[in-house]
Amino acid sequence: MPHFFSNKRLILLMVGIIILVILVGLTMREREQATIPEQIMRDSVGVVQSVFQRPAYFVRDIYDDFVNILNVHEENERLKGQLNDYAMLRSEIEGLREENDSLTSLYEGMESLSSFDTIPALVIDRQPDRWTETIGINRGTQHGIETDMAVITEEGLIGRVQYTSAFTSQVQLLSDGERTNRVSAKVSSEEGDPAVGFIEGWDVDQDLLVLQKVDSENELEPGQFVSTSGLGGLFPADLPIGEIVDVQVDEYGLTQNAYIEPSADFFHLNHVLVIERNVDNIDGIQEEFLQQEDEEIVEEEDESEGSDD
Amino acid sequence: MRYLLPAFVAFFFIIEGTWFQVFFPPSTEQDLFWVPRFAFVTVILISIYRGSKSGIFYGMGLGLFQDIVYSTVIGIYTFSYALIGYMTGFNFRAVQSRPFVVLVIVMVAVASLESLIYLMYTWTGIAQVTFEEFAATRLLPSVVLNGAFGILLIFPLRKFFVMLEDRDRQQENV
Repeated sequence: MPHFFSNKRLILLMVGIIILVILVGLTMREREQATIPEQIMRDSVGVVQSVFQRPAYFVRDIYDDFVNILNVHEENERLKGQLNDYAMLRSEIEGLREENDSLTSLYEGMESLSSFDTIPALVIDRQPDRWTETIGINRGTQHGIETDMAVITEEGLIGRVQYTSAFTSQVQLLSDGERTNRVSAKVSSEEGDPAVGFIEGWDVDQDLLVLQKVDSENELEPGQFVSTSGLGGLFPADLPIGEIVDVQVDEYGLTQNAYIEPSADFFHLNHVLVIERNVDNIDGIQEEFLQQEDEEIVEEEDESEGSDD
Repeated sequence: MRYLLPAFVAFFFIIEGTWFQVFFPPSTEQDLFWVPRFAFVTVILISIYRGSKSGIFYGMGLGLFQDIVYSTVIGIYTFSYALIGYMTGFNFRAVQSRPFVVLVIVMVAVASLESLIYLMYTWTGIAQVTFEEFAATRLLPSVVLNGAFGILLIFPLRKFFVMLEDRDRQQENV
């Protein structure tokens, strides 16, 4: 052991701690964008990571295929059962689609809150220390990725883009415990308006997502599906999140919390889709709404003036 | 030869976030957090065999990459890797020639690293678990996993360091 507590080294340690505190303080808060040197480092490491990751996924896929073959009989039985429901579901969907088309054609130029394009990406790393839950993907600003875009797999929403650099980005998963990590979500029910709340945090003991701040007037029950509401302005609507398994009244009794089994698997991620919301259309819709409201107000004023005379 | 040592560290650093996560993915059935610190173990061994100056140098470099690539808060790993890399610089023959002592140092270093990171993450509000929970679910598995990795790495790396020293001596003589 070197002579650690000599004066010179003690001063160096102090200077080190001070620099640490300053650096941590500067980088702690939610930053808009990582600095250029950080981006360059991430991109160059990202290239190496993709080189490592592709063969790893290849081997992993072979292994998974092997396991799948062993389960094929069981799965076949299950799928046959599901196939019976399929015909009914299909006819129902046809009907709904027609109805939807006719309704949207009535409302000309309207793109729904759920319209979006997707950018496929490969997962190149995962935070190994697991204090924060983030993954890296091999698509960046050069491919059209921006901060706060939603990231999904085929099964459902997994997170949002936290930082971007030219060729890679960092994605914060829903399971990350950071306080600012929240998503506006809704619980669809058969009658009435959907209940709206926020996905905030991850219950470590049960491995479930927590949906908070749902009005206690809404009746929630296990088995209901939860999806994004599209109200937060960041994510499109109707991206599946999961299924309710437990409902509890929160500590003040005014709102309720629901525990959600996520539909996406946060642990076996290799290909993800980044969602590019059609922002122009959304702005268009808002303007349209505002104009309509203005017109209505003007009409009402006209009427009231008319009645005065 | 000169670049082989940084290449080792870089290789293990990449492995931690890529291959390890693909082949040993975390799952909901697992309550324990198996955190690989392979690159850090390599740095500790470098510090033991090459001196604390090398330790602080490699530790700082590795920590900076760890901070920037995997997290958003810069400074936590840079500081702890450099500090522990420096403090484990026991480059005496008596230690170097006893693999068991080296292994104990590696395990103590990993344990103190995890505790230091836990402390700093608690102060910054990122970690919100009690110390007992941390010790049971993170500290113990981490020491076991990285200790096992240390056992695998100590012997080949020691041979490599002996080779490096021989080369240095030869170059001095020439």
